[in-house]
Amino acid sequence: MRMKKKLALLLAVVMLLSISLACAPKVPDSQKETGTEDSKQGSTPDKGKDTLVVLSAGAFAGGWDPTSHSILANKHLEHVLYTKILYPTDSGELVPGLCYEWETHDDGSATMKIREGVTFHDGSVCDAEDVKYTIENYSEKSKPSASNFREQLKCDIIDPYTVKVYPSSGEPFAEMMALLAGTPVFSSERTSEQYTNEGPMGTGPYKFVKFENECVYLEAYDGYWDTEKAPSIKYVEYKYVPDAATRLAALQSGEAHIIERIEIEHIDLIEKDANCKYVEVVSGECQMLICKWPREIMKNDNLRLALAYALDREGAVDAILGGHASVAKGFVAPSFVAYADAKGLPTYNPEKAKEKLAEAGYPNGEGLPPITFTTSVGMYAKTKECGEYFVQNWKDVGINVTFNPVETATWEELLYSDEERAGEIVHTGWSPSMPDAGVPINAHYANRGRCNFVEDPELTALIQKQSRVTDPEERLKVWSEEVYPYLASKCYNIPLWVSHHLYGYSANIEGFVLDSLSFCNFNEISFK
Amino acid sequence: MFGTIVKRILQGILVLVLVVIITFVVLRLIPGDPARQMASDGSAQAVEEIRAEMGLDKPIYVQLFEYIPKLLTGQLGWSYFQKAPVFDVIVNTAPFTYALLFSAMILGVIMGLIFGIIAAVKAHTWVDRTLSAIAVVFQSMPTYWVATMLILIVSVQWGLLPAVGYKSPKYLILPAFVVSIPIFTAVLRNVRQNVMDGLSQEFSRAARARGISHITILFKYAFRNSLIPFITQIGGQVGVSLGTCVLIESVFSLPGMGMQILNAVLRRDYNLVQGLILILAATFVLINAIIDISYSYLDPRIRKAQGGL
Repeated sequence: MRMKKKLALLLAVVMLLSISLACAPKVPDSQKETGTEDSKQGSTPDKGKDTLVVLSAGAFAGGWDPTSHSILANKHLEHVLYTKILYPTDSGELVPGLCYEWETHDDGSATMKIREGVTFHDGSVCDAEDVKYTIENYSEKSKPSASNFREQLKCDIIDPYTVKVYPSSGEPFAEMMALLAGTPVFSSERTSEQYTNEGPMGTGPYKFVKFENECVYLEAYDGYWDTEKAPSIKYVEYKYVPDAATRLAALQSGEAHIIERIEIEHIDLIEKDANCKYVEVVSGECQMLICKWPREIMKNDNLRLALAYALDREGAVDAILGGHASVAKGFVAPSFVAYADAKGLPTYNPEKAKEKLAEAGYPNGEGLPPITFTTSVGMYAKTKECGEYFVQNWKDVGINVTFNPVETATWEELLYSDEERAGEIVHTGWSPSMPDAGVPINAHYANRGRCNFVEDPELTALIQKQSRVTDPEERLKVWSEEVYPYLASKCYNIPLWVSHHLYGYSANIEGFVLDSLSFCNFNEISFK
Repeated sequence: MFGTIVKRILQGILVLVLVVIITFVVLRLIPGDPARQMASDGSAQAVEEIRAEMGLDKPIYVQLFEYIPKLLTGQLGWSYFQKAPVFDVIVNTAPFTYALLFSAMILGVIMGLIFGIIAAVKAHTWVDRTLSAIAVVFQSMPTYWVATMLILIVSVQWGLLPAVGYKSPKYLILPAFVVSIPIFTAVLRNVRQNVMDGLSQEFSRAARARGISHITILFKYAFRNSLIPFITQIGGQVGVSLGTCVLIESVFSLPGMGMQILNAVLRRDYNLVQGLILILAATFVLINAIIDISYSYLDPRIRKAQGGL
């Protein structure tokens, strides 16, 4: 009997050890501490290493087909895997990408010259056929990538390195070139199965190696066309780390060189650490309150204006966001093409709010039906705190609002819903990767707004009018004198502030530049 | 014994069936749309097409009736977000979770046993009081906070261990230590109490009177009698520890099932959540079944009550 028990005990121990050993994750040799001695002990990344470690705040979606998603993390990745047709600068200009010369025509079309000698990561040549395939597929209405395209674009091949692009409706479309600036060129021969099994493939400075354990492994592409900007760091590990505190710890411990989205309260810690730095960039993301048009009460112009006048946006930015945002003076970010301050945009004025509330038929809030305000927790910085502050602002003028902070998936569904459960007001931010005012304004207000569902024929006509003006100066005039003042007088959406991107990076790298659309060229970064 | 095993297997299957149905229905009832997650600012048309592709345009009961036969043939479905079979995602991530769970269990149990026995032997002395105080302190600290503090001290300040991801077994040390803390404190308190009880029993006093050594009395009489409640407690700790793993994997960015489940819930990746919960539930059911069977084997009274030999 004693033997039997000893045997049972021995077996139990052996079983536990076997399970533990069997479960020990096996890591491929290529992944074992690759070139990241700097990711080990000590708090300073070493010099001369060959791997750049970047920590993403968002998860990567598999599939990798650029037309199949609108996931920000994938768009960041695509920025270094692909070459875009054109690139926008933070001052609103377009600079050459794969297209090195272009000419726009009065009929709304554009002729574009494509660089010769550009190859995809598999060695195949990139030519007009690929550009045509890209433009027509990327802008196809049923594809998630087409969300910002007013209509599908068509493309004619003039010669192997020249194409003519035009809107499918044949009507001029002023935002067309800006939309092309955000479009990554992909191979016309790449199938959906290849994207899923082999990953993305472009003509960018880095090529995709593998995706494992929430980390994308990249390697410098030797055949990159822009030899002046060829990567100096051979490998990149782009890793998803959801927790902001962990990302910061990884930066401070030397395990990472760049971390996305640092929290406002972490700035002090970075400033005190000689090995770390941070960059703050005014982004292209304009945060706003969406007023849901399908709710009868939100059709009351004076009520929306009362809501807008009651908001102390400066107070929220200073006290809650610590000044790490810029109070919105218009309906899009200032870096966008066709931006102008919106004349007549309501600013904080409680007395005026009370006045408008009375004009709306609810003096001191009497008889006002229930209003629900929804915000996300975890999507943007300090939304819950800002939401509570706004609810107090509204209460101060007599508007009682029920606050509904929810997690991101629920919020996203409510944001795009026109149903009763979506409530009356939803907080959101909007940052299309094509920086032209026409892109977000068309999405939010023309015909039936995407989130507010507003239907205002007069506004739709104004938006269409600016879209048909191809001369930039003339177009800006239409925006600043007609579209923006009209939007300000209606406040279908109430602009709040323009977000600031906050990224942390190691003091031992140089060449790290973040643009307003939160894109970064890893190929321009080197170790000191 | 055979009857006990069959009964436990049937109970386990029933639990898993309920887990599958409840997870399936609840996921679809809570707000959030997986199609919208894939095309966050996509047009209504694009979102509708994705929804149809995922089969989410059908009523819930139709989706359930389509899912169960596939499940019975071992098909866990397709992860919408990762564009990969759920089975593959589980195969890639389960090793991390099980390695974390088992290393934490072993660490917690060994520490708990050693210090529990020491506390019992030194009962009501400063040693006992110190160990009990440590257990209370550790038990009252949230694991998320402990994990963050350990990262700051061990990884950032001392630079001893890495904080993020997984490349070698040393990446498991900190997370395993954090997950082991609740196990350690529970085992310590349990073993201390039961060994103290055993030492004060008639049989221990009689053995002492017969001149049997203190070590023999401790391990052969008192400790052996504390094994049944100890093993029962381990079963419960597996469930708690699986929950802790979900949180801790996320803090340390350990690419296991816990981090996957958290992300999958946030993205409403239904098939992936269902698959992961099924595997985690099966782990819990299996370990508890093994424990139930083992203690009916270890305790002759239970065996007899169940009609065994």
